[in-house]
Amino acid sequence: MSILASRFEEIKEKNKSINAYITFSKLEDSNFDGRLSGKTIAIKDTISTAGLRTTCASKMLENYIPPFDAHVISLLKKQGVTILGKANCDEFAMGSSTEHSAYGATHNPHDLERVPGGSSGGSAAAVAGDLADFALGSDTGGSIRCPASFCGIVGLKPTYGLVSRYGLIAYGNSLEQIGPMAKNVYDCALLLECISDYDNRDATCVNNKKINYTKHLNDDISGLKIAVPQEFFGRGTDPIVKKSVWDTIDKLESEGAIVEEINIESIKYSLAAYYIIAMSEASSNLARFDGLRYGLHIGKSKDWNELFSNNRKFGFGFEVKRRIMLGTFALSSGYYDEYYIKAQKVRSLITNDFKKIFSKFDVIVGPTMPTLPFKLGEKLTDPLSMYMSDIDTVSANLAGIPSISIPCGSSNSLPIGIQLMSSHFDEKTILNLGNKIEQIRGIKNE
Amino acid sequence: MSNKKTIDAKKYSELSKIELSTKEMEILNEQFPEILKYFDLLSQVDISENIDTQTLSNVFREDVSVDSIADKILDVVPEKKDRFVKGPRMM
Repeated sequence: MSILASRFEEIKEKNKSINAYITFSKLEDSNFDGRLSGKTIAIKDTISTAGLRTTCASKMLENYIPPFDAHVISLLKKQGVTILGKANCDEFAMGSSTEHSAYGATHNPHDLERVPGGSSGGSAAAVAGDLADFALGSDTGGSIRCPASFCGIVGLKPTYGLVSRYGLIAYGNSLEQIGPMAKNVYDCALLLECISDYDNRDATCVNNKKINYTKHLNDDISGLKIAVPQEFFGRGTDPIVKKSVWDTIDKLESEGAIVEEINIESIKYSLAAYYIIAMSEASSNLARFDGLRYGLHIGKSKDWNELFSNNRKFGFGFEVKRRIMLGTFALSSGYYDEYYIKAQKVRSLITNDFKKIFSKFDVIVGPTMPTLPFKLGEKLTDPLSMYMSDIDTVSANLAGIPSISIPCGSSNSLPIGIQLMSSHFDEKTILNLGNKIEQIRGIKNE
Repeated sequence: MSNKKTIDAKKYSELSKIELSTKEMEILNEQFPEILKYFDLLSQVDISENIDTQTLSNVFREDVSVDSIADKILDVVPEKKDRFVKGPRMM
């Protein structure tokens, strides 16, 4: 048995308690010699993999085998990485805890009674629990950064348009990006280099010059201007999280960064605007699941209406139903201007505020999550309280800017993450600053 | 009209083409007013001044043919006749 094959067996055994994977691959040696040769990766189950079951953690796609690879998967295969399997997540990426999965919740490797965050919780738990070297996640309102923070790993949401969404099964398509999740900043930068590539099959993909992120990890940070919005430390922020994040900011200041506290008043509207837009887009994007062309198909129905409604009754979980209905409401006649259009205008307001801040500062810093990882089941019956978990992450998706979560401390062995945001397509600045945080904390990169 | 704004779960389940159980309907009717109240936070935002809307532009590509995966896509269709998806009557 090869080293990889025996490790794969260990991973399958370990997965029984963590439930990071929904489907394992048939292990094959890669024919490509590339930058990721010998490395293993877990792929979030919202990303299409040719010949490998892709469920979106939903009963709707229980037996769906995509006929094509997402662009990011084609790129990764050329780099020689071994795909171990498809990682658990909240159904169709709708959630912040990976409890809304039709295949059972993922458990946080740091404490099996707690959530790993979501929606890319399986991806984060796979990396944190040593069930993969890397992972890919997708982030619509914090779905990479939240589980990265809760599992104590590095996770980056790229600028909207940097990474092709071709083959990512859509939830909130104007907000989401596929992004890298890894044990440290170097690995995260390496994976980003491998997946950021222009692709004309995603019309929102931007054809920029490629950047070698790994080459910019030791740039000097003296004089770097850091803005700390007070709104990120609002009501509901755990004092332990606040202290850990501020301790890190203070250390960056002593390394030569210039720190200033600021206010971004529009941030307080970001969560409401985000959910209205994401749910509206979800109601439209998930209309494709009609049970006719692929996915769940429940027998004979008297007409199309009955077939459609019946398949969605059994195919979708409760959170997906809730979001589709709220989105349908926000787009319906009589409410469209009051909710959807208003949310779009607020989105522009927030985007403009961020642009103004980045004309004066290089980075915005705050906590990734307002709290430590919560217990499984704690917020499951209270959707609004679950939505509130995303309060600090959604504004980056509304503005389309890059944002990364880096481990900055822990409390009773539960990880705490610090969030760094920069201007559009300036991933290298937050990766460099993230690397500095690892150096300060004495973490060695490869 | 009641002061408490809400969303009629039955009406929107029909519009969304999702059949709900009685229990699901009850839970949603209970949760929707609270969620809607939170969304109404946006009514406080003054958007009377001119806000730059995001600059959007069309993206075009050359009209050249590429390999099709139509046959592979048809492979996953649950019910079909020849190269057509077979469905129930519309009405």
